Amino acid sequence: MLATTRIVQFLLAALIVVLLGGLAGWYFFVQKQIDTTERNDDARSFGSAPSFGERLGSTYQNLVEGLAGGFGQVGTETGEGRPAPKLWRVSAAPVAGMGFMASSSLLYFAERATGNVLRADPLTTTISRLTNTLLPKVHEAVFAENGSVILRSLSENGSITTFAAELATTTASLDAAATPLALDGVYLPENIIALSAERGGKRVMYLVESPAGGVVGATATWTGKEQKRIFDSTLSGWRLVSTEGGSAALVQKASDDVAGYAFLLQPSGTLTPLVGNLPGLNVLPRTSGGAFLYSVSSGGALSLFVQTSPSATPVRLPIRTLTDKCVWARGSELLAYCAVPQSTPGSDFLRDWYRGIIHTTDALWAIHASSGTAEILFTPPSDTTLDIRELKVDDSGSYVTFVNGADRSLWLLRITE
Amino acid sequence: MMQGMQYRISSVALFLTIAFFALPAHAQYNIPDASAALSISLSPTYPQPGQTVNLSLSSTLYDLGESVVVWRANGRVIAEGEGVTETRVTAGERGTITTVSAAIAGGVASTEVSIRPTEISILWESDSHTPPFFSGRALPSAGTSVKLHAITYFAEPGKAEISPNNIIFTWKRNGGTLRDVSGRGKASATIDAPYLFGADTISVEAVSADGTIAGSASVRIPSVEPLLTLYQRHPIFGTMYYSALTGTSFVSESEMSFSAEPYYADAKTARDPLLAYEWQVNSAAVTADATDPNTITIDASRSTGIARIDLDLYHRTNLFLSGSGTWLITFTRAGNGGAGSVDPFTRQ
Repeated sequence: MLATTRIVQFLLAALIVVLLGGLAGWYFFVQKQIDTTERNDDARSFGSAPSFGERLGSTYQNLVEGLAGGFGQVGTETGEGRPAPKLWRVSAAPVAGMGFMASSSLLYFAERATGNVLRADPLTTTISRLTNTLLPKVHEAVFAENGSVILRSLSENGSITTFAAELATTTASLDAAATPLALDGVYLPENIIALSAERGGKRVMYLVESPAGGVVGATATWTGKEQKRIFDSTLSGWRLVSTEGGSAALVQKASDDVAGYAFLLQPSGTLTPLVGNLPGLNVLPRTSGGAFLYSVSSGGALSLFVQTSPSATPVRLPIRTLTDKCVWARGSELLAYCAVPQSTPGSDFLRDWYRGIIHTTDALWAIHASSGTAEILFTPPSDTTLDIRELKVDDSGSYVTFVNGADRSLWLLRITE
Repeated sequence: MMQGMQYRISSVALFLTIAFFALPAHAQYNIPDASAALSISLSPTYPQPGQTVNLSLSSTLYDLGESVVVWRANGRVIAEGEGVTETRVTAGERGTITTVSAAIAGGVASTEVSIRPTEISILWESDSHTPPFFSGRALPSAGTSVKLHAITYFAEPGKAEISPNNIIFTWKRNGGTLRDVSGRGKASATIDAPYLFGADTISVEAVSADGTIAGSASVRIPSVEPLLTLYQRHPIFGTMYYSALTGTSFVSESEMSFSAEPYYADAKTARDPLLAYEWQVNSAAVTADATDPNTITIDASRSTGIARIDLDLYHRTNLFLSGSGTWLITFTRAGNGGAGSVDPFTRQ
């Protein structure tokens, strides 16, 4: 009897030990799965808001840290809460595009990898993640001055997708720990090959591939409503460069030594010649007043011109660059900023530069269009090579931002003291 | 009375004699349709607004070298003198008419011509392949097509511009008329690209349906060779079109995909089934994926990290299309290629 009791006790004890061991093992296994899931979620910016630089997920973190400096800065004045250095590398990771907010030096930008929208404050060197909706591999981002954004990507079958979103003005505060929001928006028609947006974020103008060949031009609200067809062309190689009142410069895509033409396309559909029959032509209109810059590429040389109005005589400027590297400043003075390659580009420059084969090393110049003069404004340090593109300037004229074409890193330069 | 009679007869005879010799002289300066013997030629034939127009007077009947010629533009004398057979004017703005006349002094003969300045712009591009978001023009290569569009600025004073539907376009290649694409309203045309390494001069002559206004323009279009360009196809950044791989490049990964873009090729996309990609990695042939033939993935985790990529491109029906490229890629996070490791440069 006693032996039986002992056997039962022994068996019960063994059973308890086995159960405890199994529970312990199950606990550690599940916890591991939770950790893995959290890391994956963080990499996609789901769930709790990651404070910038932390909890970004191992994959993204590794990729960003693999790039020199990550989200770092150039210069010795670093650290959150302090003003940014004169030349600040806002993001080492490739960006899709950026823009300043109205009457502000706040800079909004979209990550190429995720389509997330972030905001940088040069006064405090703070970067906030505003959205956490994943839109991978964004090639282009267009920002309005109210923060609304258009993100352009490629679908699996190679079509161009265009996602338009109106970012709420009452977004997360500048507190880096604030919760990112979902990016709500709509898809505009597929295969929009060119797009320009009003600064205020109300309407867009775009060219979409026509099934019959060529393109159809249309205007719409930012989110694609009230579409109105305004233009047809049998050609499809066009660029749109935004100017005032919802109009845009309609410019033939350029190639060295090949004649191009540019027109002013108004929302009504009226097409007015701007300048034409010039080799390698690119145009940058001012957003008010009618002045415009244009560049030509011929015989292995770049030339830059300014016209203070459509009927004025063009004036050749004393710098050699292209309008892709220029931006007009706001205000009454006809002032523009241009990045100028510090060495002479060779023949076929546009063809190679557009293909990403070559990158320039640029200095920044200020152009006084009324007098046709230019002065050098900033030369990057010798250890910093910048192929400056997509220049933007804030309303106060204190900052310019640009993308380094070599790696699509984002930079901010303070141009006033 | 007889003397009076004789006097009268003598006077009449004298008058008739004088008239007989005078009439032919008058007729000599008043030959019917003599003004048709004067003609004015313009250079250029179809002036543009504000362009200087050289005018030249010629005659099959008159010795202009001995004649005093008076030139007028819109009634105002612009040149005159003995033997002045050439002059020049500046064409007016679009929609204006400048009437230029040339006359031999004394009202002997005159002629006039109307200068209606016109402008024609020829815009063109090719249907050759360029990747999405590419900012440059698609250039023609052998086997592709060239799309042309003529924009005309034809207007009479005080009237709206003439619609292209009321203009007759004659397209020409190297002087030869392209009848298939010419005609009324044919402002757009699609033609074959120039031959490999060649260039064509394409011109268009446009005449309003009523024949009152005309213009012409021409453009030279060269053919180019397709350009093979290699890019990283990054797992999260996508194809990095902004940074092409050049002869020698470094990749900070141990494994990476690469996509080739055949710029200006006779193809709809880089994956066009008519394109044939022949890949080699370190001299070993690699079979391309039929669904993604322009992409290759290299795993350098068990190697020295240096890969030489060779690529030849052909077109299955266009014998004139070919391209090739060679790239040396160093993977900076590659393995050490330890003993017994297999060749890692196999397509995955």
